[in-house]
Amino acid sequence: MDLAPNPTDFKKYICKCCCDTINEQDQFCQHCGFPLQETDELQQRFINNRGYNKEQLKKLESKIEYAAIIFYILAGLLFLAGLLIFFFNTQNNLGVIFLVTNGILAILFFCLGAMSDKYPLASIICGLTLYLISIVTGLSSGIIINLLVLVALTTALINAFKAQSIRKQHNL
Amino acid sequence: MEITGPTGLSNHQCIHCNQPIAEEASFCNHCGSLQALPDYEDAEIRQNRVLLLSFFFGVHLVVCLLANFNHSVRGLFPLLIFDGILSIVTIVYTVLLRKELGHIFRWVQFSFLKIIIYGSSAVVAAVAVNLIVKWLNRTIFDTESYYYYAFSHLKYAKLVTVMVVALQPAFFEELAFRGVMQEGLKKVVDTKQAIFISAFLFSLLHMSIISFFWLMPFALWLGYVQSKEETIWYGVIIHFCFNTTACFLEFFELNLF
Repeated sequence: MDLAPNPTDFKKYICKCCCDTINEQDQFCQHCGFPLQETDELQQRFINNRGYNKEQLKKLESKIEYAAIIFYILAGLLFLAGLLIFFFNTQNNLGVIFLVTNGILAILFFCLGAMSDKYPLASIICGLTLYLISIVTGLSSGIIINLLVLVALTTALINAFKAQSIRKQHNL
Repeated sequence: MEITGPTGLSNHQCIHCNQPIAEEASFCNHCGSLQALPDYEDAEIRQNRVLLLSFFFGVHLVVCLLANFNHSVRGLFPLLIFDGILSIVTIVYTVLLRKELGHIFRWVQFSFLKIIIYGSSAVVAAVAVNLIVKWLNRTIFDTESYYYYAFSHLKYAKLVTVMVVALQPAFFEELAFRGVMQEGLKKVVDTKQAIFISAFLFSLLHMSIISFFWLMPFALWLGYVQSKEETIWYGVIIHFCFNTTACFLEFFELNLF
């Protein structure tokens, strides 16, 4: 009696492009799309193309890191400003209010910076919105600095979208 | 699409050649095509969605900024106008995204036990948050604020307070943030990031930095419940129980019972 082949019965191989396991009868790697039955030339071209995309992704990721640096700097500056106001304002509880609100903002920016490596899009979208609101409500002043921060964060956001797209298209 | 072929390899099909493929496959092992939208289509959808949601959040932000920082528009009537604008915007967006939001209005896994558990957890959380906020307001900000005073001159002040503070936000905030925002963001980012972003924006719109310490975990909880239960209704119940408890604690503190 003929039995239908069980998928676990197929011989397992390793894809020479991404090192994921592949079945003997596969024509393409289901993890990276590597053409398993094609000529050496086409296979090499695919590997080169994937390598190029990996490089592009690395470049974009290094640009996204600027967002994290900005968040850490903002966190540090906010905390420092809160501390200074707290120590120099001894007449009323304004110092405590500034210390607490700046402290919370500093913690928020610090957390956004810390998570930007794993969740860059969420981190930058939230950080950018928080910064925009702090400008609108007058918490952050200085046109040039605000503009620089906004441009840097927007650029990081665009790069994060590009990186996500490359990751998705090539399963990197 | 369901495949009932003799091999029983998989119940997933390649979007290009219709051959059976593994569930976790990113590429078809027969034709090599990517099991996702092509880059240009994907980018267009994302771009449109980002613009759509940015406008949605922008309207909410402008209204909340006006309500919080413009002292000439205080009182019940402006409050109702602001709530009305936000509710209308949310309804318009719900209609626009009706295909994607349809499933959150269904209540397939209805359970009384879950309602009791979620509802009582919300009450406990509201009592804890209320105590901490009161303490912070008294010790740091040297101030006390009560929702009730905005409506105290009305005939059914307590009922109006519960309606405006608990019932309306419970439904429309859930629809706006766990519905439109969270579900809309799933086209742009993954589910985890969608929950985080919508929770963060929800917390920001309350325009109180100090409230972030409880608003953010609360919003994350609501986002997680919506995602896990695949319905908006448990979130509405949690939100309603939380806000109603805050109202009743106020009534109790002001000796209105």
